[in-house]
Amino acid sequence: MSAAAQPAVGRAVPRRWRFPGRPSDRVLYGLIGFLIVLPLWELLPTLGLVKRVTLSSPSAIVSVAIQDFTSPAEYLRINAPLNLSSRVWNSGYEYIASVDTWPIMVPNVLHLPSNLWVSAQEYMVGFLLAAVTGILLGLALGLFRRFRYLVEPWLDAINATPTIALVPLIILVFGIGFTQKIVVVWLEAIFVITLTVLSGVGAAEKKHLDTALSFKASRRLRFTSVILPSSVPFILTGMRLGATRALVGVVVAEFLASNAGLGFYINFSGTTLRTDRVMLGVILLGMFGIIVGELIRRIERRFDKWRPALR
Amino acid sequence: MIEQGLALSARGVRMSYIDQSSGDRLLAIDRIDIDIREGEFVSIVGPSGCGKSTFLKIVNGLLPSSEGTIEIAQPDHGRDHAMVFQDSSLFPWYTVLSNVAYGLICQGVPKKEAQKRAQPLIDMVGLRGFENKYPYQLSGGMQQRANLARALTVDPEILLMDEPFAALDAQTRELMQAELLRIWSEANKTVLFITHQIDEAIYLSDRVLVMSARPGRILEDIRIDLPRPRELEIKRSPAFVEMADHIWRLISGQLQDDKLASPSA
Ligand SMILES: Nc1ncnc2c1ncn2[C@@H]1O[C@H](COP(=O)(O)OP(=O)(O)OP(=O)(O)O)[C@@H](O)[C@H]1O
Ligand SMILES: [Mg+2]
Repeated sequence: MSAAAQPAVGRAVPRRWRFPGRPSDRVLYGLIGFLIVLPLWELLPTLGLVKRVTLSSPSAIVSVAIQDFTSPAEYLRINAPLNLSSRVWNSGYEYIASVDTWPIMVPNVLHLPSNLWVSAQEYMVGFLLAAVTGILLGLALGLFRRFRYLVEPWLDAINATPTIALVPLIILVFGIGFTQKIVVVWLEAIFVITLTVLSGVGAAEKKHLDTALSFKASRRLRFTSVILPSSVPFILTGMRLGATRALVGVVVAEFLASNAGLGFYINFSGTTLRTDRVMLGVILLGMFGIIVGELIRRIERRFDKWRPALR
Repeated sequence: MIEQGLALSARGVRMSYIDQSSGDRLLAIDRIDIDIREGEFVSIVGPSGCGKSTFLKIVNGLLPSSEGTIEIAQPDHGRDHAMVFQDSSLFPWYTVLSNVAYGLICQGVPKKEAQKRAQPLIDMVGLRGFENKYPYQLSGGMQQRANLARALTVDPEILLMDEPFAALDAQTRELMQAELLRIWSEANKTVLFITHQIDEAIYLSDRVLVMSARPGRILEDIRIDLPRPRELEIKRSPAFVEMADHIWRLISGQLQDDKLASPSA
């Protein structure tokens, strides 16, 4: 009788053999999908099936990426004066010479590192501001009933208005610049955070509140030991939703009025019919979103030690 | 002022729940009179939904009574009562140690000291080595033991216990019963204990109060004159069996009254 026909008693059934270092199925199939799509995408414009202005090819996007990442941030230009008064004319109205030709540096609006850095600054400041104020506001609304009654109608009204409709007003008040961008990002992100945190305060379980009351916990201790921990999952969810909205805010703000940033880069490339740059910008935006999402998931995982269900 | 020698005295306690949306009143308990002497172990048994938990929450101050008075003797050391809830009410975001120390934290004891004072109780309920685990890492029975330890750390004069052993397996339950009796006799605590298990009530108590179906009233106040300390074998003695049978008849009589099925009384 062969050993294979009889499973060994008391031993777990051995797992199917895998060669060491083999990637997980998830990675494997992800790669396969990529390897199918990429050549197809490359071929479509190359074979002339799709116009290059409609769909750029991966190789074109890669080369324009290299170009815009490595090109200098500023160009040297000779400034030819256009102003006639700066020229020297003799009495016979004869042109003699330009006195004021000098070299100047002009910014390279397509320089990607500086565009990314501008957007990242707007994003980080706007989102952090929205997170801090949103969480505090949400907690305050949840804890103080009268404050909620007072503020809720206004919140609902502003929340119901698309932020993009408020941008002209924001520009009127703050002008065009960093502050205006921050305000747009903040407005775009704060409500979802506030409303999620607010529902979190109500999610504290009665049995936990009763426990705290039964031990005669002070109001402050009831907040720190029950209400705050109960709303942590909601705070984190609110931050994750807010992070996405903040990215929308950056693009909205830059599309409407800006001279730098990833949103500007996409919009500018679109109006100059550079599909490769448009697609590159969109891809970078998506990667930006993924990186931020991953950072927040890292933070969330620190709270997983008592939230096994979400692991 | 409460009468000398009494730990707790309830007079004519009634309580109605009011439905927030319809405004309907639901009479949960009706004119309950109870006197519990200091150091007495009293159990309440009754059909499900008769208002046992409601009564305990009123005693604990978590619910207001609609009528009647409850007096509780004020001990010298301040802490008058602590409650063990029916379902595990441990905080999932705290470790076992922080959970057990929580009652002391509420009294303003500094964290270090509170945790030091919680340790012996963790040992007592057999959770040594699990101090830094979170509740989800514990079995239902272990959670309930941590629950009990949390109530005991504040050294309460009166222990209010709402079906504390319901989630335990038979063996652990008997161990915990013995442990509770030991603490009770050593520390001279008063215990008000709710259970569905008639034999548990008789085995533990000086008196068993049988409640009617909702609205809950005290049907009968049965004195348990079994000698102490009690061995487990006592559950098979004729006196024990006779009392259990009597209580069982009282409760099942309530169930046949059909009150349980109708939502309005
Ligand atoms: N928060 C509440 N709001 C409205 N009605 C309630 C509430 N809590 C309990 N009740 C009602 O009051 C009655 C008594 O409930 P209670 O929890 O005191 O029963 P119990 O005797 O502890 O039951 P069990 O043995 O099943 O735990 C029940 O009929 C229930 O429907
Ligand atoms: Mg109950």
